[in-house]
Amino acid sequence: MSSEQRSFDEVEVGMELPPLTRGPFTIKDLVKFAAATHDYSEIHFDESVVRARGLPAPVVHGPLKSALLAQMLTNWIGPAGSLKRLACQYRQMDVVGETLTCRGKVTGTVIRGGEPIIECEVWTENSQGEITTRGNALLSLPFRPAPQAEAPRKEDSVTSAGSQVSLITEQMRTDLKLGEVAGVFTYEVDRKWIRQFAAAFDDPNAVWHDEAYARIMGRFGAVIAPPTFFAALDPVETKELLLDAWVETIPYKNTGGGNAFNEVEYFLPIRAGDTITVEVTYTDIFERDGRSGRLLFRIRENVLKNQRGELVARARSGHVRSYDLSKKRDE
Amino acid sequence: MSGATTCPRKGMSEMARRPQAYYEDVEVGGEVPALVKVPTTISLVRYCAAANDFSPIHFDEPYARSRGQKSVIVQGFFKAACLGQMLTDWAGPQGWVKKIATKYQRINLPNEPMTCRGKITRKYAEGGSHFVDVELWVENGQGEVTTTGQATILLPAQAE
Repeated sequence: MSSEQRSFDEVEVGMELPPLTRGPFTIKDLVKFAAATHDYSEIHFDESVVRARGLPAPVVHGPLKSALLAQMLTNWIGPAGSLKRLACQYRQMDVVGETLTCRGKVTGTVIRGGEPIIECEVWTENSQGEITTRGNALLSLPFRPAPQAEAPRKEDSVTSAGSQVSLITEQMRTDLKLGEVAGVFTYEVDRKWIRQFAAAFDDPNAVWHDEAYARIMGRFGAVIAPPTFFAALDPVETKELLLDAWVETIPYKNTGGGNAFNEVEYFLPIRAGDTITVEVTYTDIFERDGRSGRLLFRIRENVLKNQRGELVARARSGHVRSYDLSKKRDE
Repeated sequence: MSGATTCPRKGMSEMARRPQAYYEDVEVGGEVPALVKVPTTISLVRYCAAANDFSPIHFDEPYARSRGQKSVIVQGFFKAACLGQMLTDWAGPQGWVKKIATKYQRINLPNEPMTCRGKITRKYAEGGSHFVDVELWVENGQGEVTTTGQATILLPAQAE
């Protein structure tokens, strides 16, 4: 992303904006957008519903296309500019697998009430060059170039080294930082999140959302989280802590995997308003033969503390991946 | 959204209130009232959103089929959450799930019933508190056990 500042003076009618290309879209992209906007309409992720409606594949959310057009605009205007208005019409459906290019063109430059305003036409094009979304935008830009902001420092990405692979090697243990704290993550738990979590499995219990009820009837006199809320505070499940990119280089065919077990012991409840710090330590890695081939287990312990440094819970979880040792990775 | 989460506090649905369980009333060998759930594909996506866990096996059907599954599969943690709900429904607002452990032996598919069950295996007092141990399991529509577990619940005593 560019942090370069655009100024009103350098903009001319007819100018094209730097395009933004996104895709090919995956179901995961759409599920994440559904999650962020709480739009759980199945046509965006459920293949059977999609087929039943005669659609070729899950449909990209219109507002996601708007969001990408907005991203193109805000990338271009820089941090001191602002997007004042964006209106979009969804002319044609885009589906999973499609790649979209967001484009824009300056159609006007005016000064309104002392404020420099740019008018743009924006659109998305699919891979056949067809226009699937059309819109227009108003942008406000500063007159002169603002002093250039210092570019944000790039975070070191977590990468895994190693090329020689057997199912478990010393390298894997090193990557997992076995026996040491592998990562510390902090989560702010609010009532809204707890309620969203309980609603996800249709648990209407008032202790999870009603303060008055929880104060009078509840053991802790406050809204608390359901027993398995620690799952939402697990940086491994959320993929914030990714120490196993290297696992992907195992030369045998991966036939499955997932969560094998979860255990938690609470010492205090997780309350709405808590800031929970989670320390993750991988404690073991081992393999055994099971009905679906060679099973590779990774065991981790999460220690949860609240904003006062009090121990809230200890959780232990196991993740398993299965491999067919008679087949190569890509077979 | 369920009705309980949208109704005003004064008229809070009975659905959202829970009766209180007491230590004295619990019998070893007794069962916790079962909870039946039929998660949909929407439930699974809503759970992904709430837990920020976007593993494609829970929403991407072509991916799930490429992994040899019939369709997308229910999250292990979703099943644990439902077992947790069964326990907290039963234990009431003064009860507390101290420990819960779950093990996922088989998968569950969306749009199929999932029955959460529990059986009381032990009751004891420790450090002035009263505890009940419960054996947990989830059955699929064919009555097969797909998930097992244990929990320890802290319950109030009538005398307290």
